Amino acid sequence: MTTTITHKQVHINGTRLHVAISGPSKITSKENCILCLHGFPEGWIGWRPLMREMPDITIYAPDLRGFPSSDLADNGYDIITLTDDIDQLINELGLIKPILMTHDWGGALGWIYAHRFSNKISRLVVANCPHPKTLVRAVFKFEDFQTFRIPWVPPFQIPFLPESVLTSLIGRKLLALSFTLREGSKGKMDKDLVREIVNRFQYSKTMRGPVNYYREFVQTLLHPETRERLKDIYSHSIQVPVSLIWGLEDGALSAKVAQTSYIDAGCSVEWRPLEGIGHFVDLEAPELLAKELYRLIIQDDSHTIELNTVTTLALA
Amino acid sequence: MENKYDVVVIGSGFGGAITACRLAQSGRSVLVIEKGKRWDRYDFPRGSGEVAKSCFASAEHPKPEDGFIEYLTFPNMDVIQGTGVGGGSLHYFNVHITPPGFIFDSPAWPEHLTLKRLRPYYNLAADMLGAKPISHDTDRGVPLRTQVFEDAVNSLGLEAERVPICVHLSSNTKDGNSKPACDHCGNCMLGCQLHAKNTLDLNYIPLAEKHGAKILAQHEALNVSPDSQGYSVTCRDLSAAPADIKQHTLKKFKAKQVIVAAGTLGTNQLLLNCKNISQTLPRISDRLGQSFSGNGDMLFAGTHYQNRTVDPGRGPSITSGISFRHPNNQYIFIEDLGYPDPFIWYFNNVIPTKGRFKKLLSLALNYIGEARGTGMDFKLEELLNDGYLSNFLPYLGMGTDAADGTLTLNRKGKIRLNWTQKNSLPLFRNMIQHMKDISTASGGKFVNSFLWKSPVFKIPMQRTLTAHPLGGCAMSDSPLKGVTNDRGEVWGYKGLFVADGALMSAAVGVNPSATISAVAERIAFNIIHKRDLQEDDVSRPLNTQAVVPEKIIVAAKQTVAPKPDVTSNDKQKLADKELLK
Repeated sequence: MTTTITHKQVHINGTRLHVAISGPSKITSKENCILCLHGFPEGWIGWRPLMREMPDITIYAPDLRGFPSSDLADNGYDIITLTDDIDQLINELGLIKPILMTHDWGGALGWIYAHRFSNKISRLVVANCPHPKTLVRAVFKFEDFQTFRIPWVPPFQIPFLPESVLTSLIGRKLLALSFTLREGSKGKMDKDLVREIVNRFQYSKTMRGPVNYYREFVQTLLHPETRERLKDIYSHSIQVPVSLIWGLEDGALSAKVAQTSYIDAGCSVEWRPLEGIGHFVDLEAPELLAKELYRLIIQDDSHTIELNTVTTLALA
Repeated sequence: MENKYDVVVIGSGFGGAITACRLAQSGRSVLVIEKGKRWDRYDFPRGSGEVAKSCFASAEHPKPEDGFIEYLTFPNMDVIQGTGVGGGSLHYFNVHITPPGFIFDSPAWPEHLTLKRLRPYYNLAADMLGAKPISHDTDRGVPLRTQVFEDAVNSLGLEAERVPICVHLSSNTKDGNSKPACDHCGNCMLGCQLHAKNTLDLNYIPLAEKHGAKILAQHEALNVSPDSQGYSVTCRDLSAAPADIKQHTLKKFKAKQVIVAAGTLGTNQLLLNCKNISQTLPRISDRLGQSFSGNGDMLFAGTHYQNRTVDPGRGPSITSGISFRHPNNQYIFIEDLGYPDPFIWYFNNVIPTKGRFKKLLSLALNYIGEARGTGMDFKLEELLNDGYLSNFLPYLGMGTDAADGTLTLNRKGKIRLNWTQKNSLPLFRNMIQHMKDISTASGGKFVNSFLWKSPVFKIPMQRTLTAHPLGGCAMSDSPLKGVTNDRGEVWGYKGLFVADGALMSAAVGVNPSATISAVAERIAFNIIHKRDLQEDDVSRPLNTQAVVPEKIIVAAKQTVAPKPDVTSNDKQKLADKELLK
């Protein structure tokens, strides 16, 4: 089965986001839909395999702030503005309680978004991203060598250089290798898709926004004021069911650390490990991801039916 | 045989079939002379042996068992064209697309010919041919190739448009008739065995025959000469017994009007013969054979992906396209392209891939190993999964080339094409650049046409293959600029018309069959009504035979048909028995 993917430009929060929408018909559903947030540096294309796997579900996949196809904004890469972006995007698209499917950096945004606006989504599904608080704590406490697993974060703090290196010819090759070399033993990554993703970064400014995510997050942690703000956000525990899908062969993020995410989320986190899959679950195993999502959708449906029968029984 | 007609049409392709149908509908007696055979749907070849035997025809030495595709090679360009009842429609790739309006603004085209004026004719032909873009609501949905092409264009930040194709895609139509739908076999070029492809021999030609037109297949027109009441057309019967004396196979037909629609090369060959060799039509403009255009065709180029499956052989051969416009109204249209199966199998075998030999060796080892129970894993499917074309997305590029080719005759009186790529190079460079851009943006590797640049050593040969030969008898405002007026009538010869691709004054930039159909519809309408068709015209030709309402037929049958006569039958039996006694 095949799907048509349509494209939409949404003006929100002082910038323009490009949203790819796939669905079974031209009239896209606002209910029972999935909003997908991509990681670094995929962009919406990272979700295209998933869209093909779930042709009967409406899927919205934006290019987040600063990624190519969206506006290359100069500022607004702090975690508060980024989650505001998602909130306004949901409002602007008119989505009613979507499932928030997130991966990597999108996952970090998803966790924080769920802390801030639990009532806006029906559930949070995170693939290969621990709770940001858990991750930061693990980095400082050297839990499971997490500190050494993400060595690109310190060099990303240098201004201008990382983006110009990564968008050079060799840099793009390296970036492509960072996908393919990290593939899990059972992963089926479409290498042409990886090249397509990498070729979106043609000049230095296209990569500045994505790298700024790392810079601004470190800034947020360094400034006492923003750190307080973050702490305040974390204090509201997440009110929606959370599933954490984990490709176990992820070298960059430790599964052991991720399993402790529930401490910081303030709610139980469903642990769904995938054997033989690496970090890029969305590219390596879209069919497994689709299976997980279908399972959750069916579960939600039966739950609402149960609830309905309970209420009707109560009324009777 | 009656040999006087109102109209003789030479050729039964898009020009010939359409004019013949419309003129027959208006009550004229029409004769269609066609060089090729009539093709039944099960005659179309499928197996590689059949394709080798009965797909291609020789233009130089026509034989009765020949196929419906002619492949002609000339110094810088190859031409592929159709022959048979239905002409190019038998093997064409079904696209019925209206070019953008500015194409007709170019000074080469006559002033009267504008997209606005042609639009009712485009719609008329599109309705008859059932042109519709492929969509998800159809029986088989959208083939993988379309999806890959659209994704590739998308990666450039552009959106591809689905092109209208004359293919029956859903088996259930609105009027309740069930007709087999396209089964995505991808062999459009080899003729459709399902009749899902709306070729001319399924619509215009039967309609013409219902209105009394006569189709004379396997007759090649040799000469047209004016006489007191019009023209006489000499033709040769190609189906005649081989031992017949050549002179006896010639036939002569007289007509008030003659429409030459023998395909671009055929029309030019016939008229050049009449003008220069037999000199029966010496006053034809000297522009005859000039301004030939290959429509900027670029085949065989494409994108090779490392592990993305494309399967170019599945689905209707063209489904989607993307247009680019450059300064000076240079127009480029790039479409996805499917190859028929036998060619895919052939190329998959011929094009070497990395490690094929090694793979075959290990496959053989594994086979023996598993047969002997050593626990080696033999996987039969690996035989097929390294085919080069499985991951190859072919493109068809078209554009407004310089239209500066010349058609002449060689010593044997056969057509010869002189074309150089020199003036069209900017177009081809831009086109290749666009294809390259699409390839890199979508993560694949661009592969140039093996005619344009040799795959080994990269020798620039700059040859092209065109499936869209156009021009030679250009429509024009004056005999100094072209051969016919904007209604297809040859300057200086009243009643002699040209109605095919040869009329195109310049490249169309997209697949030209729709434009040729529209122009042919216009020629026929102008012959009948001496004016142009308007939107909502009362004299708009019908695309179906005027049918008597069903109720009347049923009533008539009931009154006329005799009742099932059981008693008489029984009586007969009794009589027989008595006889036996």
